[in-house]
Amino acid sequence: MSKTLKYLLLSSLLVFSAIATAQQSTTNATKSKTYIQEKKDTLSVPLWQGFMVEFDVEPLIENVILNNSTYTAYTYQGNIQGNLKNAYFPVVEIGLGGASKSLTNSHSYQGDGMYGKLGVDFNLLKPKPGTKIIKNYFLAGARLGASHLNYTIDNLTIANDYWGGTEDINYSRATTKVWFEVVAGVRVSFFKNIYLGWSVRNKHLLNQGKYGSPKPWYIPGYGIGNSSAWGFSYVVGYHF
Amino acid sequence: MRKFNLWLILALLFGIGWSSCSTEETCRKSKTVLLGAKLYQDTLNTKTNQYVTLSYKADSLTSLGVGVNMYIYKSAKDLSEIKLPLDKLQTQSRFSIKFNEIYDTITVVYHNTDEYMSLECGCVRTHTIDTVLTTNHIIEKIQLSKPIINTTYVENIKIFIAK
Repeated sequence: MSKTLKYLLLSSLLVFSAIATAQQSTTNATKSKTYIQEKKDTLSVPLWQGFMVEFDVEPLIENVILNNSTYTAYTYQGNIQGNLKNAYFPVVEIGLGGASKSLTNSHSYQGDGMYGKLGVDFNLLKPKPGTKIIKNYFLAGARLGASHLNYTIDNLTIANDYWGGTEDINYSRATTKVWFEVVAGVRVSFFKNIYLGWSVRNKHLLNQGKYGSPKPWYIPGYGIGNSSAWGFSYVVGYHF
Repeated sequence: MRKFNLWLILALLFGIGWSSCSTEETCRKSKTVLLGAKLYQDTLNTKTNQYVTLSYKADSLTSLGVGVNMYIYKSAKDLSEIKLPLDKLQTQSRFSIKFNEIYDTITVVYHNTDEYMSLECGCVRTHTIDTVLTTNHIIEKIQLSKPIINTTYVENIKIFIAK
C-alpha cells in the first residue's frame, strides 16, 4: 500500500509539473503552428504529416518504484508511428522484455524474448469547421503482436503423498505467441514537437497452447495472462 | 487542452493503481488425482429370473497399498465407492482390500502424463489405466469404465462382489 502511495505521489508531482509547462508552451505553440480551416466543409490537410518516434516509460517507472515486488520484469519498447492527414496513424512497435519470479513453494520462472506489433490508430477528434486544428490526438486502434521467447520453469514438484517420494520437473522451452490488441489513448503536444501520452490496451492471445502443456507465465509485449490481459503505457515521443 | 490534462491525470492515477496490483500466488485448483471405484453385485430378480446389477454397500471395508503401512480405509462402514491413490512414481500399484474379513488384491497397470496447470499450481500427474487385475476371493470381476484418472473424480472401475 505504501509503495502505491509513493508511486502515486511521485508520478502525480511529475505529471502536474509537466502539464503546467505543457499548457504554457502549447498556448504559444498553437498561436504560431496551427492553421485555420478556410472554408466550411473542406480541410486541405496534406497526406503526409510526418512521423512520431515514441518510447514507453511506464515499465521504467514501475521498475524504479515497485522494485521489490513479487516478481521482476523489464520491458523496453519503442515505436514509429506515421501521421497521415492527422487522422490515420500506422504504427510499428518493437521491444524486448522478460520476467523472473520465485514462489514460496519453490516454483520459479525465468523468461526473455523480443516482440513486434503492427497496427493502425485513428484520431477520433474531428475539428469542427472554422476551428483551429490543434495537434493533440485522441487515438483508437488495433495491433497484431507476436513475441518469440525462451523460458524455464523450475522445481515443479510431484508429491507422492501416500506412497512416498517426490519428483521435480523442470521445463525449458522456446515458443512464439501471437495476440491482437484493442488500443485507446491520447497524445498531447507538450513542448514544440515533444509529445506525452498514454494508452490502455486490451489484449487477446490467439495461440494459447495445448491444455496441460507448459505455458510462459509472462509474454514480452503481452504481459501476464492466459487468454486475455490489460496493458497500460505512458509514452514520450518526438514528432518529425 | 484542459480536457486532455484531465484525461492524462486520470490515466496516470488509473495506471498507478494498475501497476501496483500484485499477482495471485496461491493455487486454488484441486491437484488430487484418485482412482474412483464403485462396488456392485449381480442379484437375481426372482420375478424375471434374470440377474440385475445393483450398487453394493460393504459392511466393513479396509484398504491399503501393498508395501505401505498406512490405511486408506480402515473398517469403513456402508461404503459403496472407494477412492484409491495410485503411485505417481511407478506405472503399477497394488492394493489389498478387505471386504467383510475376506482379502483380495487389486493390481492397476497404467501410464502417467504430466499436466502443467500454472506457475502457482505447478504440475499434476494424471494416469491412464491399461489393465486392472484382481484375485477372486470375494471380488468376482472388475470392469474398466473410464481409463483416464485426473483431478475430476469419476468412476474409473466397477468392482463386482461375489454373492
